[in-house]
Amino acid sequence: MSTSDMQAAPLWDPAICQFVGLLTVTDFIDILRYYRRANADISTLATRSIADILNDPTIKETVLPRPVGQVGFCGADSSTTLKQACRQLHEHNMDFLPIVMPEDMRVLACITYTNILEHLVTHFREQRRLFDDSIYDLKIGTYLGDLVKVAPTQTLAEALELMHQHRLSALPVVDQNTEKIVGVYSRSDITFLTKATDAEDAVANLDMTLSDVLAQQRTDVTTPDALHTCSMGHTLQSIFEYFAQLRFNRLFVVDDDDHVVGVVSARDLVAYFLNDAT
Amino acid sequence: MDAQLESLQGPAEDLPEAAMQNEREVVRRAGRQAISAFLDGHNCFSVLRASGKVVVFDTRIPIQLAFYALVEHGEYFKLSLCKVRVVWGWGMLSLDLVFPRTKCTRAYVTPSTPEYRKTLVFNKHFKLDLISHQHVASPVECCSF
Repeated sequence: MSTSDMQAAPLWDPAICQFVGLLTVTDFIDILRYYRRANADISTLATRSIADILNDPTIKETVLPRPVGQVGFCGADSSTTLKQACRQLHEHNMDFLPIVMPEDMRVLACITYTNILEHLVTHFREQRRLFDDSIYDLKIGTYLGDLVKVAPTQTLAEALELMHQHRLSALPVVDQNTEKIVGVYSRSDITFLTKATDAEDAVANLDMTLSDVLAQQRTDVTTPDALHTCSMGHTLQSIFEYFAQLRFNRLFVVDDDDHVVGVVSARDLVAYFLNDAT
Repeated sequence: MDAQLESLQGPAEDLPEAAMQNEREVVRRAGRQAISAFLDGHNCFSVLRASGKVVVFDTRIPIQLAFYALVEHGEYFKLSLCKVRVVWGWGMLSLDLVFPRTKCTRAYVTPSTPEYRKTLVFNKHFKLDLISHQHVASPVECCSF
């Protein structure tokens, strides 16, 4: 069980007896970013309700990556096929899909692309060799010009802003001198929150440099957001095998000198099979 | 499809480039179709783990409490194998989790008025039964499970 299990929670509005959205840890990080930028009184977070914050037009427009309150609760019936679930995740640009029991609308889990890939690599059987092309040849992932990187000297706030602008869940941290990849910062890394003594301290932590953030990263827990790399020549077959071992959310594609040239996410892998499959 | 694939078994270098390209496309398409068929043939239920947890937040609770709970849960429960599902709160302060400090016992949710911090002190090993939305609508039922 990884810490990422707990990073999304359905929101229940008791007034209308309905689920109204999904709250993630990254939403809180974005709200802290807003408070930092607006120089607002952070102590109000202790009393402002979830509904109040999510319906605050300024916060909605400036920091939240997705309008939680507007789209409402976008769940899938547990009998929904994985293909449909993948399409739903993809089309709505969601990281978590709540799975709902149709009989009583119970939320059973919030699944991710990584969960679906886990199921695929565990149960998919194929005798033919169909995946011997390289991920680069298959155009799976993001490469070179479109790649967003960050330096260890940049602050957490800058990294979060870049991720927000480019709608990314993680960034490779690249040494300015050697241009080698030295780490990854993902939005699910909440160490700076867990180490904070209070909300004010958490906001202050946004000014930490990424090298300090990386130094704090826990090494005693498995996380699908840890740094894993592959080469451009890796075949899709080998990526699947790699995934079966490591359960990653993404792989950074590096050359022989450890320079990042691309990134392949679990989402990219699933999207490849959604497109033009007929 | 299989007949087309079998033609790949010959030495690739003997094939003209256009034919090789075509064969490669055939293999790629077959790969996509195989995975696509797999995804069509399995449902979301099959992805669910035997053990898992879902935290549900009442939208009236303070956002800081919600996130504190989300983070604390991740920290406390990462080693727990208990099946834990929690519904959090019936109102801003009318929330409490009371549970015996014994391994994998049940938890009780009562609409009382505790201090924030008290609600966040979790026993690593408690097991809280699933509370569905009907129960959320009428908290009294939750006290009796």
